[in-house]
This record gives sequence, structure tokens and C-alpha cells, in this order.
Amino acid sequence: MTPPQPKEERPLGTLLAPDILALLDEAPGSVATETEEMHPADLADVAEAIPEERVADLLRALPADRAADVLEYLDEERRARVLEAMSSAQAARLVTEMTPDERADVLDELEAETAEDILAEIPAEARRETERLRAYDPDTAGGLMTTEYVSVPDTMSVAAALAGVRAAARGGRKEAMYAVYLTDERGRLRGVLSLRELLAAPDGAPVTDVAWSEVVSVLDVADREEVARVTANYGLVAVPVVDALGRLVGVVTVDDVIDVIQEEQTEDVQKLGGMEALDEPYMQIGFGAMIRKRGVWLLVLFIGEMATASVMGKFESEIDRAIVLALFIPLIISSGGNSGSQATSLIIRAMALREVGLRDWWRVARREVPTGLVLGAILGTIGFARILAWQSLGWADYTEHYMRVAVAVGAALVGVVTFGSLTGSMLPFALRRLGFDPASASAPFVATLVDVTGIAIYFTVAAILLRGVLL
Amino acid sequence: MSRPSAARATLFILGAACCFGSVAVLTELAKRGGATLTTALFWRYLVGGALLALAAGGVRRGWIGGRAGARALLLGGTGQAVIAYMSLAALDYVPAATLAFLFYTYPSWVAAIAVLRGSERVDATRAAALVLSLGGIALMVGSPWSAALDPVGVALALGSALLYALYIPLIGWLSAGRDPAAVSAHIALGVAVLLGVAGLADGELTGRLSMQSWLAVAGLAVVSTAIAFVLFLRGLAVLGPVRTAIVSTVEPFWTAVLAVVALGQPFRLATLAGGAMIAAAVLLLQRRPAPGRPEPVGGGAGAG
Repeated sequence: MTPPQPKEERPLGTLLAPDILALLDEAPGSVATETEEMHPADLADVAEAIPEERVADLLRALPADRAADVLEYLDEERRARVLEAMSSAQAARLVTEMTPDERADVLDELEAETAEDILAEIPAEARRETERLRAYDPDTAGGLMTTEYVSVPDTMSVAAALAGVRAAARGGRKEAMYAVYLTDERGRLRGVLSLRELLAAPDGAPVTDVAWSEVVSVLDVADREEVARVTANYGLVAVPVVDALGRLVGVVTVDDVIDVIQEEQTEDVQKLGGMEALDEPYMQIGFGAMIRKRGVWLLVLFIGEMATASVMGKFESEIDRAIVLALFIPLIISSGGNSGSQATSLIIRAMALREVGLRDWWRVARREVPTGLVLGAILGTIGFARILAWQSLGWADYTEHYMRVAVAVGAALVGVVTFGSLTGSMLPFALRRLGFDPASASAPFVATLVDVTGIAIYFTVAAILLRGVLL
Repeated sequence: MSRPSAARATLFILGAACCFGSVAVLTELAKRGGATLTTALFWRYLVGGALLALAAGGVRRGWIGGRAGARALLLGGTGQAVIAYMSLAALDYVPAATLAFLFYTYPSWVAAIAVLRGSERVDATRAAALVLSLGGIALMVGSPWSAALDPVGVALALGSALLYALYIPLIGWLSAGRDPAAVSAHIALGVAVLLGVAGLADGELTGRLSMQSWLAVAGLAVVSTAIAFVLFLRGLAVLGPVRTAIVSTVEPFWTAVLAVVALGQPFRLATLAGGAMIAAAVLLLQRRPAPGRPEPVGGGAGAG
């Protein structure tokens, strides 16, 4: 899916829009020839830059296959509105020309009734293929794959296979022609070879002699993250998809994998920021959805922070007697929250990249405790030195017991940062163990959790160190 | 200089331990004479650093220069200044003997961090050492809620021990491939510059000290810094790091005795028992390759 670009990032579209509009008004028949050298992505930029009610005119002025290409690059919401504004027959003419996976995606974006109307208008074979693809969960390999790939029987010779590939290419557009797959009589995946390898092979040789029999593939029900991981790990440009019986049912191409990676990263970043994943580009999401997706987590965090107020209430008498302690509350709790957020972000990313799994929780804890201890010691020493320095230089008055206050702040920082690092690193493990997405352990969530405990640690340490003096 | 025999080398290390072990008591004497902690430390490191520079062959031969020299002055000096100040500030809250023993937990901190990081295995010896060390602290300090010892002094002493444990790798990095005397001179002068600036800024720094303070400061600079360092290096060359560390365990006990004799501080049985457990932990840890003693200038407390 192509995210919408801000106006300043599609200058070509903005520049050409007036001319295209003029052509549509004065000579719509010449639009196709005047724009035939343009990349479909650039034409989609033009379609983004002109008034929405003119986009259908532009698409009608182009050959169907070209219009389908432009549609593929168009922003999802605008595309849906444009198709819904067309007659079912017009829309069906365009989507029929799309690649099967894009066709299925586009129909998924429409109102169910509209999608069914359009589907009813497209040729039977394309309709069956589309329905099969739409049956898959969009977040699985089946939901991502295209059925436009090239396969040949594994009994063929190289010459026959080449002829088959040539016929397939001439027969129409094939999205995934990077590799040629070999299948047996039952359609099971038996081998793969690149187009280059096929071209370089001796004509008379059996195709099995030049193909790789160890084929990396994914199941049609595999999660899209698994598809992205396999693609990245093996450096593939296309991943074959097989069903439970090992039959080749489609191919996921690298452009779709890039989309998956972008969407997953966006989702993780949004969750880390303390909200539900938006699932839509920022500028496209509706006001209500924005409030709902952000508000729920804000409310949860807000209620969590109420616990901080409750804990502070428990130490009200200490704060009354040693108001100087209150000065350092933000320093203490933010340090704990920051260290926790750091640890959470590191572990979530490491989990996403499969550098760590559930079983590694103990190893991570053993790394985080000394790390937190050392980081806490560094921050604690700086906090300690800062209080002494400000007091000595007369820039602040932390009472005559400033040394005790400095030690309390330093010691509390060691405890809070160590606790924050440990908690922040363990939370993603706990969430995954409970079946949630580890990315839900957002940084603000960890910060809230550590705020509550940080207050308790700080005032407990202060109560020990300032007992009989300030408390 | 001829190589000393093992017996003489042992005497050198014992002497060095006593010199280092006198730091806390001499600092307390300087303070009782009217010097502030910043002033006492400034003069100790200024004079001690100059003597160490002489021991390194003079300014010209001992000057490291370049980025390595700047690192030793700034990083080494800052770390040393913080540790020395923090540990010796504890003398306002706990007796010198307690400080010396608590500071002496630093090898256990090193071992604990290595074990937590997984860089070293928890074998029976190491586990016993850590238990002994923790037990020694608990015996000496008691419950944090009881009034046996001021928790601020305990926190300062243990905090400085933790920082010293973290400071050891830094010193190892700064000293790699260089004359230890030269590195130590740089660090000492770095401390003097830092404390000099701090003392001037807050108006505490002065040269007008009482005779008692000057004598104590001279003892700190000459005995507990320069002589201690020379003896330590000569002994270390013969005994090696493990035996040196074992002999050096006399250091906190020396501090304890000196504190009773010179300062008239009471000596609690719990301090002796807890201290003995901490020293036993150090001895146990020496059964494996020891972290050694890479920092000869003086950690600031009894450990020097």
C-alpha cells in the first residue's frame, strides 16, 4: 500500500495537475498518449493532486491496464472512494486488470456490498482466484501472496520449461517472474531456479538437474511477520507459499514484504508510544478513531498514575517534615521510567528480530540487574555530586543535612534505576507469556509502573537515612 | 634497584597496606585540626602527585601527554576524587574502622557484578565469599532501622566501595602499557585540580592550616600516597597480584587498630567480627585469579 505523500513530496503531481485537468476538459482522448511515458506512481501523484471527482475521469481516459496500475499506487481511502463512485461494471473493468493480491486487497477496502457487486462483474476465473485469496486472513502469507507466478512440471526439459515460461510471459502479466518453480503431478513444490539459471542451462538437460531442490517456503497460514523474517534471513525476492499438503498456492513478493515490515514497525512504534496501533496513515485516520485508539491507553496510564498519587499519600507526613525531598521526586521517578523504557524498547526490538525468546528471560534479567546497578551508580553519583555542589556554591539550600539528602537521592537512584531496568526488560516477556503482543509494554506503561515503585523506593530510602534528623 | 627477596617483598606489601590503611585516620586527624575534607584531599593529592611524578622519573619522563594523559587527568582524576570524597565523608557518620571494613567489600562487589553478568561462574568458593561478605556487612551494620550505625555513613562507605569496583576497569584501561607511577601521578594531579577548583569556587580551599592538619596532610601525601605506592609496586613485582592481595587484607585491621590508638574511637566487637568475615571473603576470592590492585594512588578509605 502506498501511504499518501504530503503535497511538497509529490511536486510532479502538483506541477502536472493543471495540465492534465485541462486535457481532460479539452481533449480527454489524448490523455493516454500524452502520459504514456509517465510511471504509474507519478500518474497516481497527479490523481492525488486533482479534485477527487475528476479522478474517475482520469482513469476512464487511460487504458484499463494502465488505469489499474495507477489505482495500485493510489492512496487507499481515495481509491476506495473513487471505486465506490463508479458503476460496478466500470470498477470491475479496472480491478480485473490488477494483480490478484492487489485485487483482493482493494476489494477488502470497500464496503462489503460494493465489493460483492464488483466481484460479480469480473470474469469467473479471476473471481474464483480473488475469492480464494480473500478467504485468507490478510495478516497471513495467504493474505499477502499473489497467484501470478511461473511454475513448470518437474518432468520437463530446460528447453520445454523455457518455452513454457516464454508462453506465460507472453500470455499476460505475471507479477512474480523472478523465479521458476517446479511442481510434481500433484502440484507439490519440488524445486526452484532463477530465470538466469534457466536461460544459462543446456536446452536438453532435465530441469531438475539445474533446479535447487531445497526450497525455502512458508505455509499459507503463516503469520506475515514470519514471511518477512524468512525473506530477510534468506535474502529472497519472492517466497513461495504452500498449503498443508505442500502444494504451491502462491508467491509473496518482496514489495509486499517491505509493506509488511513498514506496517509492523509503524505498529510497534505506535504501541511503544503508549497507544493502540492506528492501522491507518496518520493523516487518514478519523477523529473518532484517533480519540479511541489514544484515549484507551491514556485512560489506563492515567489510572496507573493515580496509584502514584496514592503511594505519595502514604508518605505525606515525610513530605511535610522534609519538603526538600519533594524537589527530587521528578528526578528520581523519571530516571527509573527512562531506564525502564530503554530496557523495554531494547527487549521488544530484540524479540521482534528473534534475538531473544521467552526462554531467555533469565539471561536478560542477569544482564539487566548489573546494567541497572552500574547505570544507577553513575546517575546516583552525579545526583549526589550535584546536590553537594549546589549547596557548596550557595545556589540552593538543602538544609544543614544536605549530605544526608544527597546520599538519599543517590542511593534511591541506584535502586530505582536497577528496578526500572529489570521491570522494563521483564514486562515484554510477561506479556508474551500471557499471549499479548510484547510491544504493548509501551514505554509510558513501564514509566507509569516504575513511577509508583520509584516513589516507594525513594521514600523508604529517605526514611532510613533521614530518620531522627529530618524525618 | 635489586630485586627484593620474598620475605622483604612481603614486608613491603605489609608496609604499603599499613600506609594505605592510615588514610582514614590521617584524614580524620586533619579534619580535627580544622581542615575541611576538600582542603585535606587537595593538599594530599597535590603533594602526593608531585612526589609520584618524581618517582616516575620526573616531570619530563613521567609526562604521558596527548589524549592518554588527558584521559588519566580528567577521567581518572574525577573518578578518584568522587570515590575519595564519598568514602572519607563517611567519617562524619561512622568510625574509621567501620569505614575501612565496609570499603573493603569492593572485591565482593567486583565478584558479584561478574557473577550477575554471567562472565564468571558461581562456584562454591565464590558463593561462600559473597555470603561471607554480605554476612559481614549485616553483622557490622545490623538492621537499617536500628541505631547501631548511622545509615548515611554506611551508605557512603558501601557506595564508594561499589564505585571503586566500577572504577577498577577504568584504571586498568588508563594504565594499559604505561608506567603505573606516571599514570598515578596524573590521576593524583587530576584530583588536585578538580578539588582545587571546587574548593576555590565554594571558598573552602586554604593554605592556612593548623600544625596538626599540616602534619596529617603531610602524612597523607608522603606516607599514604608516595611511600605506600613505591612499597606496593616493589612488593607486587615479586609476590604477584594474588599473594599481594592476600597480604593486603591486613589493611582494614590496621585502620581499626590505628583508629583506637590515634583517634580514641571505640572498637565494637560486631565491627571486628563483621570485618573479619569481609576480610575472609577477600581471602577466599584470592583463591582464583584476583582483580588485583590496579589503582595505587589510594581509594580514599582504608583500602588506599
